[in-house]
Amino acid sequence: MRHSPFDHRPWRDLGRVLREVLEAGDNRVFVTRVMAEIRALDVRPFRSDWWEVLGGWARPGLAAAAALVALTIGLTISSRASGAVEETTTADDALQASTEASVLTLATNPPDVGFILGTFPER
Amino acid sequence: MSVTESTLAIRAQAGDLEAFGELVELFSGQARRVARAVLGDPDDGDDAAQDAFLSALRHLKRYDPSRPFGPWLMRIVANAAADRRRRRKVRAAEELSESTAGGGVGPDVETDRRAFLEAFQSALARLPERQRMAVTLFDVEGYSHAEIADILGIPQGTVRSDVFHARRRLRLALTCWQHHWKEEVV
Repeated sequence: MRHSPFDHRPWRDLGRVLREVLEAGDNRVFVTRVMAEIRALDVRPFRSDWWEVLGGWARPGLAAAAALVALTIGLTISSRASGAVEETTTADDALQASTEASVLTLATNPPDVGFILGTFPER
Repeated sequence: MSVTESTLAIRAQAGDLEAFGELVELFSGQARRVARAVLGDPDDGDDAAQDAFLSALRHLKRYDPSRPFGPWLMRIVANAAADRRRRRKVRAAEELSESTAGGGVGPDVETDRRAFLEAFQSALARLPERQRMAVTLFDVEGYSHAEIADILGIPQGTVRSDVFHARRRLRLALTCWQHHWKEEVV
């Protein structure tokens, strides 16, 4: 069978020759040697490294953080919007803010004349 | 993907050494051929393939059992062989003189099948490392261009180009010896 190097299917005959050239002898001996080396060196699968564990959590962690930030921003904006409408100041609040004024307006007894006159400078 | 290799890999990930042994058995031929394609020398190839299996076992937790085991392992084999090649000096396969190369030997020279294979091996050894791996993985091991691209970490177009150039050069060696080849190879 003629075969072109352009052909994008495996070239069976070339593969057969290559395989023969690259074949390296008895596989059983090699397998025995590898397994003996594994046992001698006590090779085992590594446990996941800490950065791999963190890496595994990175994506869901970032997504959760982004969701939390979005939720916080949303709540802040909505609470500010509602607070601007509802916020009112009563007269009592305004009066209690000034102690001198409250002395005059919130006293239960009539004010002492001497106290009132005493506040004016003598001529 | 074979159910067997996936099941074996899952068992091996859980610490079953016998299951890993079966994987070694399944893929040892392939791993040795690919390593030898890189290194040229069979002993070096076996050392690299062994390094690769040990490394594969150490990093087995990184393997995703939903994907084929072969390409994942072959990437490790290719890296192990390339590392070994970098560490060592140029090997005997590359030191063959030009006089024994496929292009320099004509069909009129007395030879046999063994001589043909040696000449072909010499032609293979003169290919760039990546072309050797690409043509071996494609024409011998039957991996797709996409899988080879993944194994070698190069674009698919580069794999196609490497396979093409490798074939073209190996074809010369084949053509040179075709009269001595019992079966039709070209």
